[in-house]
This record gives sequence, C-alpha cells and structure tokens, in this order.
Amino acid sequence: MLKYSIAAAGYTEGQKIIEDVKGELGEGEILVLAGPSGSGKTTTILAITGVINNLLYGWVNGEVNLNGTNPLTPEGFEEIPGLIGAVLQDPDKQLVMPTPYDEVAFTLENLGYDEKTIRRKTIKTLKRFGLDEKMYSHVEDLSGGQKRRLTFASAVVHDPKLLILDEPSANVDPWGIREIRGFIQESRKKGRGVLIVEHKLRYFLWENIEIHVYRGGKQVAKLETPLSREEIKMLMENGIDAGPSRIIDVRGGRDKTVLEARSLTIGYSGNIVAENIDLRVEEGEAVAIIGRNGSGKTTLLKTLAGGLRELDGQIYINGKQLLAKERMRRVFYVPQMPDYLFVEQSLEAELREASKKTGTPLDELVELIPWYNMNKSTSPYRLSHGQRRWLGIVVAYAYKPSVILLDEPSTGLDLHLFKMLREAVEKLRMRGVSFIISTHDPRVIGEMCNRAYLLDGKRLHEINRYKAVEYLEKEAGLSLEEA
Amino acid sequence: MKRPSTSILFIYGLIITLLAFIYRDPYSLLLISIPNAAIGFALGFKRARLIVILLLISVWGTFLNAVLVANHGPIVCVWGPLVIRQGAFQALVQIELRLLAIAGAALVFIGTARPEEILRDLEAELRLPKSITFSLAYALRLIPLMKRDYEEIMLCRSERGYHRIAYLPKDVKTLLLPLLSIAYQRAIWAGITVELRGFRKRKPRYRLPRIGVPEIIVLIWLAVQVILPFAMGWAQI
Repeated sequence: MLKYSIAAAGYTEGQKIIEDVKGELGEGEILVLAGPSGSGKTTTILAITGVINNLLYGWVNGEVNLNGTNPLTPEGFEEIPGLIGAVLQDPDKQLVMPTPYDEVAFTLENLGYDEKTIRRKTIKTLKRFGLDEKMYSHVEDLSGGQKRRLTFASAVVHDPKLLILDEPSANVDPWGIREIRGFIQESRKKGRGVLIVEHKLRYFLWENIEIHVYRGGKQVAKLETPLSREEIKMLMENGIDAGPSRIIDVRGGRDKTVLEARSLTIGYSGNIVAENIDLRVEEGEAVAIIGRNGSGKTTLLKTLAGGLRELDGQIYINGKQLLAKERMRRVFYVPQMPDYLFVEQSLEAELREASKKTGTPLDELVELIPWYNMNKSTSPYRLSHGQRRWLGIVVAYAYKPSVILLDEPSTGLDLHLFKMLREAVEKLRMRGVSFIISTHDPRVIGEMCNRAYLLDGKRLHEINRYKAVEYLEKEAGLSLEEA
Repeated sequence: MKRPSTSILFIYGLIITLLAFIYRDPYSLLLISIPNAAIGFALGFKRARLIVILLLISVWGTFLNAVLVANHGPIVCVWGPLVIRQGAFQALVQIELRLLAIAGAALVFIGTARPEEILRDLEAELRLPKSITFSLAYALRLIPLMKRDYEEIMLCRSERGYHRIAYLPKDVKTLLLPLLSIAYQRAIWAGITVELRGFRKRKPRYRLPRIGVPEIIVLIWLAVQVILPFAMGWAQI
C-alpha cells in the first residue's frame, strides 16, 4: 500500500535533512519511525505525503507509491487527502474549526461528500470517539484528552487507507495513551496501514511491528518486535524510550521546609478544583505532582506561584504566610510551553534581559547553559524543544526563587533531551533550589523526583514513588512486565 | 418558529451597520439602535457580555473625545470646571447610538445563528470564497486560544517584573513577541493540516438562501428601518 525510497530531501536547496530512507507498509501493518528529536522523522512524513515539495517549497529526490499514487507530483498530491488521515503532535496546531462537528465535517466537505452523508458520518464518528455530547461546544471547552480524540476522529472519518501519527503520545496523560493504543489497534484490525513517528516507543511495542531507527537524518537500523535486550539497549542509546521505567535513588532535601500549603482550597470563583491540600517541600527537593489531565495540577501550581488566589487555606514560604502577590517571584512558575516566558529575539539578549531585570550576573546564567556559545544568536523560539525548557528553567533561576514550579516539563522530550532536563534540575537542586513538578511521565518521578503526590478526586495525597510509577504505567495500559 | 437563516441574519447585520454610518439625525439613529439593542441584548447577552462591557467603557472614551474636539454651540450643562456644549452632547449621542445599533445587530446575529451553521451558510448561500469563510472559522477557533496565550503570557510577564498594563514600547514587545511567535508556529502547522485534509480540493455547493416566514419577518423589519427615516423626512445623508 505504501512504498517509499527517498534518496534525499530538504526544505532549502542544497541542504539535506534526510538521506537514504526506505520503507514499505501493507494493509493492517504498523511501521514506527523512531529516533531522537531532529533526527528527520517528521521530515520523512512530510516528504512521503508530498508536503515538502508541494507546499513548503522544499525538494525531494526519490519515489513514493501510495496506493498507486505518487504524492510527489502535483496531481498525486491532490489525491493524498482521500488516502491518508494524519494526527499531529499538538492538537492545538491541528484543530482548525471552532466546534468538534465542524472539525470532523471539514474533512468530508473538502472531499466532496454530499450533505446527508457528511452529517451521518460526522455524528457517527463523534459518537465512536465519545464526543457526541460536545459536538457543538467550542473546541477550547474540551479537555486535553478530548482534543486528542477529536484529532483521531477527524483523521479517520473518511476511512483512509493510511493513518499517520506524529508523536501521538505527546501532550497526553496515561489514560489518553491507553485510548490511543486502542484506536491504533482498531485501525490495524480494520486493515489500515499505520505509520507512527514516536520516541516513546515502549507504548507501541505490539507483536510484528516494524521499527525504523533514525539518527542524524538517516535510517540507521530496521528492527522487528519482539525486541531483544541488545536492541532495546541500542534504541535507548539513540534517545528512544524503549525500555522499562527506572526508579533510581534521588537525593532528598535539606531538612528545611521552604514551601508549605495548609488546608488549601484551589479553583476559580465558584468552582473548587481541589480542597484540603496539605503539601510540604524542603530545600533542594524535587517533588512530583501526578494526576489526570484536568485534575487541577496546573491550577495548583499557578496558585502556589501567586498567579491565582487560593480560595481557602494558607501558603507559607520559608515559614512566612504570604498572599498571592507576595508569592510571585519567590515561587516561579514555568509553563508547559516555555515560549510564554521569553521576551527577546536571541538567547544572548534573553539572558542579558534576565540578568538586568534580576541583578543575577550574566556569567552565572551562561555557566548554566553548556550549549550557550553555539546558540547565543538563535531566537529562543527557534531553539530545540529541550533547549527551550532548559532556558525556561535558567530564566526562572535568575529570579532566585525558593521554589521553581515546572508544568509537564518532559512533554515531547526524547531520552537525550530528558537527560538534559534532569541535569539542569539537578544542577539547581545542588544550589538549594526546590522543584515542584506537575507530570504524568513515569521517567520524571522515577529519575528526577525524590517524592510524589497524587491529585485525584479533588484531594492531594502523598504516594510512594514506586507505586506512582506503577500506577501511571498501568493506566497507560502497559502490563507490569511491559513497564 | 424556526430561526431565520444565517445568511439573512448576516445581511441584516451588515445593512444595519451600514445604516449606522449613513444616518446622522438622532431619530433615525434611535430607530435602528434602541430596538436592535433591546432584541440583541435579549438574545445574545449571555454569549457576548464583553460587548456590553466594551460599550459601557466606550461611553467615557467618546465623551472625552467629544469634549475635546466638538465642544461648541450653546451650553448644555456645567460640570464643575467642565462646560459641556451642544456640539459635544450631540456628538456623544450620535456616536453612542451608532455603536448601540452595530452592537445590537451583532448580538442579534450571534444570539440567533448557530456556530456550526454560520460558515456553511455563508459559503453556500452568500457564495463567500472558501478562503474567507475558512479564515472566519479559524478566527473563531483561535480567539479563545489566543486569549489563553495572553493569560499565560501576562502571568509570565508579572513573574518577570514587567508592567501589567503594557504602555511602554518594551512592555508591548514583551507581550507581542511571544504572542505572535506562538501564533506563527501554529499557523504553519494549521496550513499543513488543512492541505492534508483536502482544503485545496474543496468545492462549495451553492444553494439559494432559504426564504420562509422567519426570513420574511426579518426582511420586513429591515425594510422598515431603511424606509421609515426617509418617508418621515428624518434621514439626512
């Protein structure tokens, strides 16, 4: 059904992004392109679908055959929408219509279905993905998991031959991952070919899956499940998360409480998100807050940072009860998308500005960024995913807060970038900075945090780290052996 | 009774907006502003409280502006050191009635039309090009998303010690740079995704606007607002 052989492809003339990539995918088969960020996985997908040369003014040298069509030609590219369904990494970048009904119907309208069929198919698909009751709500009123389901609904409503998934597990909690695994299996049973780009490979290791490993724009290995220990080791070395979750010894804090919340109630006026929260963080500690999307983790972080007022209860910083405004800067919140924090057009200017604003010497900030010299004139918005997260933490550090709050810091990070993040956090912990990290990534709990709390059913309670990791893996649908 | 068709409501809103700019005399403006505002607030207040708040704020802005640029003629009232003359009063009333008429017509449209019908009907019945209807749809999708971006950026700016109200160039930059950079990235991927979903193949199916009892009532009411000011000799164009 899909056969491709691409000698080289790139976005600008003479600049190769991928080189010598080949693959084949039949009906009901799954092919996973795995590799670290920037290894050329997404570019391969854009090349296969003809997007690079037909839309982005790039070039592709090679051949693609998708169900008898060549998407690299303008005529073939016209046929692509009827043959494929695509799910991108970030639902907010993919969803373009105001309501779920419009979103799903949009594909069918474009493909020329008649009005009756559009209505029937749209409603049926929304029902199948549990979105029929929200059909006319605004997309922004959907939860993160519902948005992800909507991207799947709009990708399969026209029953495509090939389903392309670009990092489907990014931005999704374990409950969402379980659903995605189910959708993929269902598509496979229906005879669709499924092409997945992913570096959290361990969620997609069913039997008879072909895996193409990417590094530096090249396809360096071809594997098939079940994987041997050596193969898993090789994948991990390539920044691909293919192995079991690890729980390592993480140094504790310094027996001095820096942040304490007592009987805290959080939420928005008239809407209590969680109540009776008791939380304590010691100097130099990293504490994880886990829970489903929408359980109130971000609301809790924003309340601790002073961005939202507590509805009830007290928050103490270094033993002193502080109001929302007074907490700001003593507790620094780094959002899930660190881009919100940046205010300058180069890395150098960003650090200068942070230094000027806070009085923290520029050298001290530069010292925290090993990749500074290579990237100092790069816009913060053009840094890699991991580098932006790193920079966000360094900007936060410049303000010398007692506690830095990180909201889902590992989203979309491959193993190498995750190690970079862990290193940045560890460096600052050594300097006495404490962290509260909202996450549903078992790696963060097992390798970065020394304690964990679970926010569930409007209550926060401390949970053993081992149990927390086990809990998240189980909810993602992995058996304990797989995890 | 059925709701009037979206395209008829759109035409209604468009013509009321034009009339608000054409009419100058207070009677004509009263005729198009008070009834439209009353119907509009009754139908659309829940969905568009912000318009009402903006309208209230605009009264003060318009008043200051009128006092600065049109304060001439006989004295109407004296407010402490401020002498308000007929010119300023007339300008205030004229502009506010216009805004009331436009806001009222917009609220009638928002309060009556269903989001899922707006784009389809504008494309099929009014034959607006697909690029315009898609842009409208994408704007409706983006507004809450950009609102969320704005709130996050404001929180980050507060943490970083910038003025909450951006009045210095530096403040404006710290607000706009992240807002636009993020929107730009989103726009690129939105473009790719709509093309992969066949937007270039989209061929709108045209149909005539539905004309039934609700639409006829809307059109008669619109005709009254167009004809009456001329028939009564109020309208000065």
